Amino acid sequence: MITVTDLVKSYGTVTAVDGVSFYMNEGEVFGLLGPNGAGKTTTISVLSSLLPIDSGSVTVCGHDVRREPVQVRRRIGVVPQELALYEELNAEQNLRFWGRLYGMGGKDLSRRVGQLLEVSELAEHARRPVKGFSGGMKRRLNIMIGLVHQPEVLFLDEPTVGIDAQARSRILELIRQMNAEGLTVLYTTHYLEEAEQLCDRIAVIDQGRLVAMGDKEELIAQIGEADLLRCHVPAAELPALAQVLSEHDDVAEVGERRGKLQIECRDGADMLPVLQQTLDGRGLALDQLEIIRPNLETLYLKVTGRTLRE
Amino acid sequence: MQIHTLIDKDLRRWWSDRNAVVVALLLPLVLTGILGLSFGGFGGDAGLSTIPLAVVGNLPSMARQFVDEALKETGIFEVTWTSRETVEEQVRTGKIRAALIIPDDFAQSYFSGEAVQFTLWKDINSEFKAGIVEQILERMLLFMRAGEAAYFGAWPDDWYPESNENSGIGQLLSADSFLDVYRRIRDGSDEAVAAWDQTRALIDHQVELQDAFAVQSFDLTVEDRGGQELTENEDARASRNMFNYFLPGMAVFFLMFSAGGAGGDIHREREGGTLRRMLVSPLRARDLLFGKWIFTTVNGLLQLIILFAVGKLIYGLNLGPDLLVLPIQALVTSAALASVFLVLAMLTRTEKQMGQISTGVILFMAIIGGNFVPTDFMPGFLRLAAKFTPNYWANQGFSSIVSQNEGLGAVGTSVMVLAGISAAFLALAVLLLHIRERKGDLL
Repeated sequence: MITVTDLVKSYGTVTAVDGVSFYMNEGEVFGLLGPNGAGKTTTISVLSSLLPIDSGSVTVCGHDVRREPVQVRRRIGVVPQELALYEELNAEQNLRFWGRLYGMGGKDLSRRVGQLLEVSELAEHARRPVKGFSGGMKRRLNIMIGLVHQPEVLFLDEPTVGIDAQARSRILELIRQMNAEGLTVLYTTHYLEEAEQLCDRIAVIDQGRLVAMGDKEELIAQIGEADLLRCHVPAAELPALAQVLSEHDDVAEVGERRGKLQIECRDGADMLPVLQQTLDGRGLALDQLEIIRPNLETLYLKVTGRTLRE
Repeated sequence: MQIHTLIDKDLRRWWSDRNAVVVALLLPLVLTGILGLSFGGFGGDAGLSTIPLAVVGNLPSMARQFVDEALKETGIFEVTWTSRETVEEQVRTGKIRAALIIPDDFAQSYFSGEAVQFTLWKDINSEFKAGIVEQILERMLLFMRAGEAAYFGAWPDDWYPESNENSGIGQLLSADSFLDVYRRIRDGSDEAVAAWDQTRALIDHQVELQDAFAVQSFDLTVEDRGGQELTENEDARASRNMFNYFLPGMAVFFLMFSAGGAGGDIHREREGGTLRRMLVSPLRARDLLFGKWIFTTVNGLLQLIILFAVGKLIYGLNLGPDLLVLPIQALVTSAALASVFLVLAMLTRTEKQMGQISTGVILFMAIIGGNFVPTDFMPGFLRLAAKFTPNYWANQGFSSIVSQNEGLGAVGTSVMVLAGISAAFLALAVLLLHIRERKGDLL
């Protein structure tokens, strides 16, 4: 449904998207996971034909975004990160306006607007000016506007930013519901748990580059099903400890990560007594211990050297 | 193209914004009320519109020129020199507001030193300020006396000892001591005789000068002409109502703020994400620009029509001889301002920047374009600069219709200029939009 090949997009001397390639299948929820400034919004803007491409190619629903931007725009819905609503108008007027922009009208538009207000549980508030809505209600309306013209693909750019856990949960449920009805979704986020819960496949993007891609199992397999043990030790002791621990059979890799000793091993719980014994032998205490099970965060940490919150 | 959808959306948004409505409609009406009442309200003429004044009578050419220029320099009077036969009818019908009658025996009275009898006719409903004319007549007579003084003031160089030591007084005073001077006068020396003759001549000259500068007395009799039979025409009534002067200026001034706000709305939509959303719809960026331009034009037209209609109800505003002319002038004014501020929006990057720059531009244009002070009162270079502002042409057109009660013929130039500005700036805005779109600089 979407094919992106060697996409490059720069702003002056800054390369925002650097050789990104991926594909999206019809009916799937594809996650683009990365921190702020990773290039997620730029990628969506290029896919929406809003930004010119420096090099590479992008096709959406079989249409080249450079040559056939209008055909692409008719088939996609975009939910920007901002609350792109007219706060002076009410919910119904907002939906009607965006529907009309896509050439809808009459009973079709009325039916669609009513349907979306029901789905988003905003029907009771349809005639209220949007400026009186809660953050969660605005977010739901923001998503519904992207769907009013019944697009084949929906691009959601961090749609849960700035709302509470309950509202976020409702929005994720809404997206699952739409996806179950056949909608293809490109979902960008910097929340790992959202990507894990919602997406069929995930691409990890960092500093404009795709650093990993696949479904959750494939991604975790990339880090070898290994646990990570991390603890603080004096810097001077690090090389010697790494030497000793690396000789253990269950240890895959030992190294330093941001001033801490990091041990990649088959089972963190089994490895813990070995680590304690080694430290005791050198007169050191176990300090600031972390055991990290394989998940997207460990993957992200492994491929970027940082956590998403850093 | 769903441009009508864009216009409908913007109109709904604008009219639901109470602040915008207050700034655009209420403030101009309130300020017009304050200024209009301060400057004479419905019947005042201490204000700024010109008052037709006829002058009847024969004056020496220099004096006539002086009176003509002095009356015109006030900026209050529109002066015509006419005959006594026609002037009374003109005052009666309201074609002129007043007439200054210079007596036939003016020269005789003046040279004999008798008081000159001037008469001022005015229509009975006018609160014509005769004092202004009185001051000008006084200055005219002083001017004539000064001319005489200049004539008599041509004295010989050797009258003053310091300018010529060989003169009688000079030689007398060149003696070694005061005692020596006294002895020369006592002995009747040649120097003393010459000095005495010269002193007498000097005294005679001073007397002549004093006569020349003597203030000529005059009387100005003010008479109402027309009485209850006086019928005013629309032109006269229009020029009397001070609200006719102030409301168009205020309306155009606040219309500039509305147009600036509409330009700024492009940035507001960009910053809020709705522009991004519209740009991923099948609409072209150019359609969005046209939509904003048509909205600003239509909204401005509505704004002006409402202001003038309410102005008519509250202030008795004159809407001109032809009800079609005012909407035409309002339409081109609104379109021109919409185009100008769209260009400004295309040249700026944020709503804040647009707000700051457009406020500066509006104040600058309002000052030089005549929204606060009539351009007729400005120095020549500013009068020239004013012609490069759209609001100047808007003010000129509205002034012709509302204050002068003139029709389409009189506003033809301003309508054409404003239509030209509108087309040229809209084309420039489209060009700037394409440049930004090509650079990916719209978001």
